[in-house]
Amino acid sequence: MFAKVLSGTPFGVEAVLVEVQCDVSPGIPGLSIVGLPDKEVTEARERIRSALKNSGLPFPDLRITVNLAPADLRKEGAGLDLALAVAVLGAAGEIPQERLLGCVFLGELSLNGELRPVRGVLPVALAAREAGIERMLVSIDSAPEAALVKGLSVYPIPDLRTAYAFLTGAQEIRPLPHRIPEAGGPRTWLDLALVKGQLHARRALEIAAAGGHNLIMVGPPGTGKSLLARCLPGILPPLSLEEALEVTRIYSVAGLLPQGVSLLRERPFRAPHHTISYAGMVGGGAGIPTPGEITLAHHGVLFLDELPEFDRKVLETLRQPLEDRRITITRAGVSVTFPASFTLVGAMNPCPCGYLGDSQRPCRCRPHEIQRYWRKLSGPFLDRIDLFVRVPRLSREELLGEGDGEPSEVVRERVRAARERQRERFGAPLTNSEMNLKEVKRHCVLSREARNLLARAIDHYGLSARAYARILKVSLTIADLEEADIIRPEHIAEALQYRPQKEGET
Amino acid sequence: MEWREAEKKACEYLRSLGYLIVARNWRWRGGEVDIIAKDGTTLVFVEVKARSGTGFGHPAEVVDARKREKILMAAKAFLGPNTGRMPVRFDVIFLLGGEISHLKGAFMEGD
Repeated sequence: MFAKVLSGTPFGVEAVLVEVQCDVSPGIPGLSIVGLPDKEVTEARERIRSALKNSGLPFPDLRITVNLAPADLRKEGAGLDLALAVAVLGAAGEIPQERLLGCVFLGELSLNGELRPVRGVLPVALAAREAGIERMLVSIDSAPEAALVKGLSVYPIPDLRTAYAFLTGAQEIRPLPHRIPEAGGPRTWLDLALVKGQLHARRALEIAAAGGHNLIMVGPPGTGKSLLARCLPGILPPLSLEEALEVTRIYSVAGLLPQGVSLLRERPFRAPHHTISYAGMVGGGAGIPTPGEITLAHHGVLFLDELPEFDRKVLETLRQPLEDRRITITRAGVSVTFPASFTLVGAMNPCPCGYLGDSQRPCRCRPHEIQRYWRKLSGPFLDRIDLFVRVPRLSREELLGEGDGEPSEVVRERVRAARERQRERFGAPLTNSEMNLKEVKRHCVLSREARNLLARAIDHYGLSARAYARILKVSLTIADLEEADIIRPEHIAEALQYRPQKEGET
Repeated sequence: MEWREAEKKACEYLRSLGYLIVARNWRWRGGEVDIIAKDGTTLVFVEVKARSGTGFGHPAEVVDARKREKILMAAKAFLGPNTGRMPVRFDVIFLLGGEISHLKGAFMEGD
């Protein structure tokens, strides 16, 4: 006898539907799984046998051959367990084949037959809908995630016994209605009202949020660089539903969706330690590559504290995703593209000891040490940073005062308005930072005075073509924040303050 | 209990269940099996294990990978070209003191 059951396996941030074909024939009893299963799938053999036995269901004393199609795709994870068990029951004639049609099964079995949640439910549900599948059987914990997909009947299943009863028509199960939660996920940000002083840095943060500009903060230890960075997700406009689904899909595949959360609605904030490996940053790993920090920060903030301490190779790999907003990883035979559209925020000290230019403590570094420290950031990497800002030590008055700055909510409203202008300008949810040279030329309209000022700046600072474009982009964002249609000299002047200034260079 | 006696008891037990005894102590090259019986249309290869007590471990522990391999080889040899023509099962019968326990489908190929 033969049975065919559908399941899915994650692939990048997508999923591929897998057809589980099961054939039973008399002969020496055994269960063999073919079709490029990985270790977890091969081990399903033991879980299925125990789960069937402990659910009071027959495990046929027959020669069972399971094939996973497409045969050239590596099948990962324990999510195929349920489909395998159902396929065995179907092939043994316990479940009629017509009940198995048009249905996707996803879930890991425990030895007692309970169904456990797995990663990648949302991508599989999306792939199922794409393929015109109408029903999906998943664990109870995974059901809300699958129910994010409209037009798919999601049946929450506690255990194998219930799945069997449902498929044989012995038990009715009500599908979980399609639902998009309004909120979800832990809050990722701190309120700007906590920040004392640092008006200059606050302003830079606001510009970064408004135009999607990458930002580096330079200052001695303990002046609030990390705190400021943590405020950034809170002044970005809330995720749109489409963005939230993209983010959730990534976290689902990575297995990082918090329990009880079906949809992530907060902007991600990722702050990897500087010892992070190349694969941890951009994604990779054995088998099918898994998303790295830059992908986990998609539509959010990637914060790199102690920027020059990061492995130079790791920083250099950021160059391409900063440009393309995605990364393609190719490993033995598989090529996966992950989205990676994030705002980069770097924090660093002005010198190795941390106190160069500080008002209170002397710097103990030698000039060549300072030079070496700054040389860890390559020119091409720094070219992708639009904003540089100093975060100096607070004065006594500022320290003693209350955190009197504007709360995030107020700033977020200005950012939202500025982003709205950009959306209208580009006809898409793009930001000023994503403009190419042609678009810079088209969209940056300067007043005569502004043009004169910029001309003088080019001569005075010896600005390169790239630096010139960068200043125009930032100026446009500053103008957007003021809802000005033309870039005026004060916008240019402010943008000039944020140009990169390396220490220890003449 | 001596093994001959244990196997006799096991055969009696199987007959009482309606099984048909096909062969006993069947061996071929590296393979050997205590009892071959027919349960309806299913051909059953039975391993018999007897212990007077659990002092030397439960009898179930004795059917190890090597033993299973021997039984599998015997089964393949016995079936020969008839492999796949009829359902097959591997059972283990334990005799512990005076009690008989029967483990149906105790293992399969690849365990």
